[in-house]
Amino acid sequence: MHSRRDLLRGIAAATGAGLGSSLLHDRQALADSSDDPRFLIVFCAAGGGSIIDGPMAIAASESANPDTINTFPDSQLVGWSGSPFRVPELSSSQMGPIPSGYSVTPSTYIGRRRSDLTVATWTRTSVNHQIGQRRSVTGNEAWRGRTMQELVAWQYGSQAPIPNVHLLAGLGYAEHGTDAAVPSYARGQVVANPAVWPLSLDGTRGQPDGLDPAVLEAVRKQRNSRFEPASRFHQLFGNAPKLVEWGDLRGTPQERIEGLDLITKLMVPSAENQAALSALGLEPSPATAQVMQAFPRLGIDPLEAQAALAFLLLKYRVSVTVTLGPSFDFIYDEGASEGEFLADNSILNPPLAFDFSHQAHRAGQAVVWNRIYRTIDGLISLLSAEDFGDGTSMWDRTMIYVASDFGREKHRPAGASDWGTSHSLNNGVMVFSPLTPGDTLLGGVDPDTGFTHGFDPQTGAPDVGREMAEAEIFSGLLGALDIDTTDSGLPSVPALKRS
Amino acid sequence: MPPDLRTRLLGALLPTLLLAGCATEVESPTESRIGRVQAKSGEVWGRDLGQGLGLEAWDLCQELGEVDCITDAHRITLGGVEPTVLGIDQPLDNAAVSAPIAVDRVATSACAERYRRDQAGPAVLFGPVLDGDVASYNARLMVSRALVERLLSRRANADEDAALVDLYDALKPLSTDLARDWSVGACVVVATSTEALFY
Repeated sequence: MHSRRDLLRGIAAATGAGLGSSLLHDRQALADSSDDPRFLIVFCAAGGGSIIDGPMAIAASESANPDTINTFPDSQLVGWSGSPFRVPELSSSQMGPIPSGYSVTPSTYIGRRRSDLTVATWTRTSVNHQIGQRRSVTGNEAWRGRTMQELVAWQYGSQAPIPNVHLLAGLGYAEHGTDAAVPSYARGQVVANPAVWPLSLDGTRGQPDGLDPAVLEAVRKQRNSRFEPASRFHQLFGNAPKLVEWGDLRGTPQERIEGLDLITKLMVPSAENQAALSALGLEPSPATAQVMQAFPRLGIDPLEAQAALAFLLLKYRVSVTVTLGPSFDFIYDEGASEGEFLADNSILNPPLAFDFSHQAHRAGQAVVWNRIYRTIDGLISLLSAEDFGDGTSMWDRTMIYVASDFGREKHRPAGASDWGTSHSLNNGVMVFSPLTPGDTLLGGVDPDTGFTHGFDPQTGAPDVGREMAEAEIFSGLLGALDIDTTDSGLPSVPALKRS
Repeated sequence: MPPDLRTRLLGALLPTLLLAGCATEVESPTESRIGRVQAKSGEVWGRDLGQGLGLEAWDLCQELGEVDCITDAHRITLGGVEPTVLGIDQPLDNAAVSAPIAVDRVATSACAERYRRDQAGPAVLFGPVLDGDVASYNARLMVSRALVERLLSRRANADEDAALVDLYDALKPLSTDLARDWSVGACVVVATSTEALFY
């Protein structure tokens, strides 16, 4: 995609104007960027999603050590002619120690989306969950500790009401960066409960005894301009940073949020609260039918609820980046059980998500990858159908970055069908986006060891003697998102950008 | 000077000296150079709000009639923590962008509940307006002073009194139920002031 920004950059380069200056520090350029945004969804593969249990699965027939390396019988793998990807289709009567059967069909989703799937290998620097999570979005603090989400929000979100939303709290993926120069609007906003959060976006609506909006506006005005300035507390501490921040939030951000009627646009009712919403005069989002079709289990599955809200946040231009992913909670669908406790496929999320691999690697990886693929498939369907307004779709401008804490151990007890694994530095990332090459594997895997190797950052050619650093993948993804990295000192990795 | 005379002189001058000192302090407070102000968590603010309005914590605000605003619906937005399920064991570093809206929402609900109960009687806070006439300056002044005393644990100064009492004039062209809107509105002004939210 070529943008007006590319044109401006081209002119600047040709004339020598603006040399060395970043778009990030130019208010007008930021305003222009907000008209021509890229959207970033960070999909957290929390707990440790292993790339060789995903689209880089190793066939037993390829390996010199098929019994002791994490390989799959050839019959369990589904691939596509001319594609570097293959995925394992698995089923079992046990999910490790949990007496519940499962069967997964990731080929349904990867087959449909592989033209926009890019996998790049890398070697991480920590096997601590929180640290690995953080480094997956900062490239190991590669650019002054700024997160990818902050950079996208900074460049593209200056006009958005809440540019950077984190729907998955308490993990390293949702931490603030460490660069104080990042504007406050670009910092992540945590949304703990997507189902009721929209209610906090309007001061009066949906309250049984609420004030009329005009009355509340007058009340706020009297408080801000008369009552508070008269108080000794305000006179003493009015310039304290926290009070200045609070005063700022009461201004433009509040006006934007309430002015956009987000309490309606972002409200997807569940079967339980639909009646209560109507009784309180609240309408469901006009996009409710759309998101219910893509995420029919959003009432019982928090990940689907997150994905629905993520779509709405982007659709209504509330945000330019959203972070979401499976939690570490055990989630069980009682409705799928038909009276039988722990019926097959009733476990939506195993305890600890991918970190369930400590107990049952194969089952944990299979179920959580499938869960992630299915949710991404729904998001792509919704975004593809959404017209951006210039003949392109929302999806044409979006990147879904599947960020993992780290990889998993490559070995297994000889011939084991399921086993426990520890954490491993070696892994790869998945990116679904029209902005990255698509149906492309950057790097490769040694089928005899299960370890991945790197690629040439310029050409993308495999390089068995190279490992990709976190900073390189971070930089390559920022490049694909067209983030201005002037003066960042980041390595150049054009191989990750679709030409 | 004989000791008894000195004592009597000091006794006579002391109130004057104290008043002079207070007056100087009130007229020109020195702005804090440190500005070390912290936000109350939603639970602490909610406790203060409930205590001031004579309401139990669970009576303050319920979203959709069943989700407690402070301990559930807006818990993290209001600076709370929830380590067990959400893994949030530290309050947010910065105020959430929707926090001022959530605060207004909780306060409106709580103040409206106090008004509703006062209407049913016996009145705890809004009696002077409910028993008399909201158009009465004195009735509004009494309620205004009670609000500041109950919610901020101090006496209101003259400018604060005026700001609350004058809210009536601002609402007059907008409201169809001035007694209720002024009472709830004045309550929201005090309950959501920075003095009530920070320490």
